[in-house]
Amino acid sequence: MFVLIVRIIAALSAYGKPGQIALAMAFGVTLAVIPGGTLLWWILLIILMMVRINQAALLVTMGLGRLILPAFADPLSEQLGYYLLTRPFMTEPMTSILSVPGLMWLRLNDSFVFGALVSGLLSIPFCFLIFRVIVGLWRRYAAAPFRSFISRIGARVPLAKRIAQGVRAVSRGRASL
Amino acid sequence: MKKHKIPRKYRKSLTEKQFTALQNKLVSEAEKKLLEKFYTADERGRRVLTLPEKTEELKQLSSALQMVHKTRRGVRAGRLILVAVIVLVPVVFALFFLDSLAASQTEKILEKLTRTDVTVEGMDVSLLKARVYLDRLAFADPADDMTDQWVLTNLDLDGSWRALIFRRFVVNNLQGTVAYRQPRNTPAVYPPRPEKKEALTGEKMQSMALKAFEWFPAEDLPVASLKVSENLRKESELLYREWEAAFRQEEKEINVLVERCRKFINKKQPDAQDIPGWVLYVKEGKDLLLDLNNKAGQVQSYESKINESLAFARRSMTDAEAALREDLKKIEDILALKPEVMNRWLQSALETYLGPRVSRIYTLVRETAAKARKKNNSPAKPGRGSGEGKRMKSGRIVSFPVILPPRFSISHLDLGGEGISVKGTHVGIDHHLAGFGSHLEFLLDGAAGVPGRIGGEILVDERECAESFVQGRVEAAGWSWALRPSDSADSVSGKMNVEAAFSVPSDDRESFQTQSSVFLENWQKGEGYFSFIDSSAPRLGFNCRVGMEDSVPEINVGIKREFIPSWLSFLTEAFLPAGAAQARDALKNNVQINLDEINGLMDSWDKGLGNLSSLDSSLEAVEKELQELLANSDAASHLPAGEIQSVIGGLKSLFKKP
Repeated sequence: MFVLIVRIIAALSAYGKPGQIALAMAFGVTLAVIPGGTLLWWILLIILMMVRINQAALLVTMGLGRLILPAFADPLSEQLGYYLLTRPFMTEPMTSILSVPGLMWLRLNDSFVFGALVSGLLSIPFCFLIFRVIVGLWRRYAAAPFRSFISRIGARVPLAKRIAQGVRAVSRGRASL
Repeated sequence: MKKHKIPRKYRKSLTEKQFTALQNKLVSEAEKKLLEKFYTADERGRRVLTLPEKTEELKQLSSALQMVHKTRRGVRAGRLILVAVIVLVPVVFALFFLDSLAASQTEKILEKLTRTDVTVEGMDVSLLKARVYLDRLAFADPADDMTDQWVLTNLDLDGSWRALIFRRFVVNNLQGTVAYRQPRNTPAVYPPRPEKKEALTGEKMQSMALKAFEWFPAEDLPVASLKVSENLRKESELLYREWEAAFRQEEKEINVLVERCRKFINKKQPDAQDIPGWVLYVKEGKDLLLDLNNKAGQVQSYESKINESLAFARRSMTDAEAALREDLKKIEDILALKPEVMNRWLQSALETYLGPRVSRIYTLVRETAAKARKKNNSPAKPGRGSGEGKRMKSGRIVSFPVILPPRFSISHLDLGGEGISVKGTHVGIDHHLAGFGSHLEFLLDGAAGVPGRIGGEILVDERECAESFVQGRVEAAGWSWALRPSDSADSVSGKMNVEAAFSVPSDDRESFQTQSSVFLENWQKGEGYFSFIDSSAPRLGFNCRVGMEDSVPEINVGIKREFIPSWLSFLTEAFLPAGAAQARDALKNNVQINLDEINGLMDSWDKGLGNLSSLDSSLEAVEKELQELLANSDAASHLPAGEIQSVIGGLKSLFKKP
């Protein structure tokens, strides 16, 4: 819990453009929607780990998303996937895609995997805009007061002090978790 | 100074746009001010860095710029190289040491699976060609450490990477030579056996024990003969009791009458002049005669009653015997086993003859198949994780007309050896492959520990126009078999021939039919319950039909009709006369007891009939004697009476008034 709080604050307060953080968070949502354990999920995760992206924001958003989203997003993703896969216009491209050696392992003919991929990719622009606004607002209005608040109460409340120390350590020492 | 190094990128002069972007990346106002302070604008409008003199300020600036530098975009080359190293090192290592590694791993895995010593020699793995060649693959005999039970030589397995990329496993060519029971040069070193988890004892063992009578479900045991014989016995007993009670009474009365007759016969006759005495004597004699006639009539009626009862008893016997024959025929002719009984029998047989491991595998397969059937019967739903709120694991698979390799296939299979031949083309499993045909034929003739000959052929035709999706036949000849339950002294054995054919129709691939004929012959002398069986026992054939239609299993086992007459005559000659009691015991009824009692009743009736005859004859003798006596008495009494009457008439005429 402590680590999670630290990471959320550190992610919002991390060095880098707000857009970078928002994009990382949007990708985190995509990874949260796509079922874990599938090859597709691992490939996306490895690719995102290979590129310079705010990984703290990515991992925190993904972790939170995986806690919250499955309850209502999974059935919708599955239905969307089944609807799309059973459209006649999808037969030809999907046949071509699945005929490519290796792509069969991605389980794209599974309605849940395909639906999650589509909904995850489609959600990136929307999530990006939403998180961009949130990060901007945080930095403009909340970051400084929050930091001073933590500093003020840090002396009295040990937990707040630890959070402040943790945020500082993460922000300065390990901005790219 | 090196410790507070400013990244090269930010040591250069920056445009105003680059400087603003750099400022935006900072999260602290103090850092932004620091940046503003040390990045001063030159005459061209570019921001140039002036290094702070104070160490503290330099430290803060360099720290902030280093953090910003870390958030730059692009590929993380270090991590990429690390991943590449992690992936490539094992690949390179495998390329150099693959053969020996694969050989040792193959040995380990096969030893774990087979629990015997496995020898792998001359393994050559061509990774890029997906080809494996083995000089020799030997499985040691678990019972003899100087013998290899199976030896495969020159084994060539040619796989397909393309299929593997499509999540398929295809072997293009598999060929080799098979030999059975070959001597070893060195003793086998067996892998340590795992400790047995649980011994099959107690109830579990008992429930799995194979007993001849457990084949037959108790509720299906025919009891018609028992009911018929019991009813008939009761009716016969009732009739006999009534008859006997009445007869005893009548016998007493007849004896009294005979006694009276004897007394009358021996009685002294009245004097010739004692007319009233004669009148009384004759009257008594005539009364006795009348009683005798009545009793004789009653005896006749008892005789007819006895005859009726005997006829009834005979009919009862015939009916009971007919019912018994019918029940026996029911057991032997219409032997319809239920699936669970068949499963139990099969599991028990596997346990007894192939060991608990095979039995457990069979149970596992059966349970999995049952679950799959249950799942197929339930409406299709996307797969969910266990418990509420957990993630879905999979959705619905949508099929696309992708031409894929079969899921598992061996394009060309050729394994041969002394008495062994396994050949096939496109042998595999695939439900999505259209227009493809698989063919597999095998023959084991006196090899591989097979106690006879077994051969067969399996054809799989995926074409929609094909009559059957799967069809095949299996023939086995000269197989020794023995039924010898461990906890019983009963045993029977002989040779067995099997002809089986099975098919799965193209239009309904979830149903299947198996038709097989099993012939038992060359019987050996049986023991215990089967002691009536010997070498003279005729051939016995069974029809066995196993099917699945609309997910409902159907198992029918019955004796072939053409074998019934010969076996009925054999049983009549060998089993029924000598061991009728055994047959009846097997039926668990009291038919024989009932029949014995009816026989006893018939004997009693016969005795009663004898008694009646003797009574009848004594009555006849007494009657004859009495009639003779009365006839003599009439002569004696009538003559004097006539004379007396004539005298009296004469005397009357003398005393007549004029």
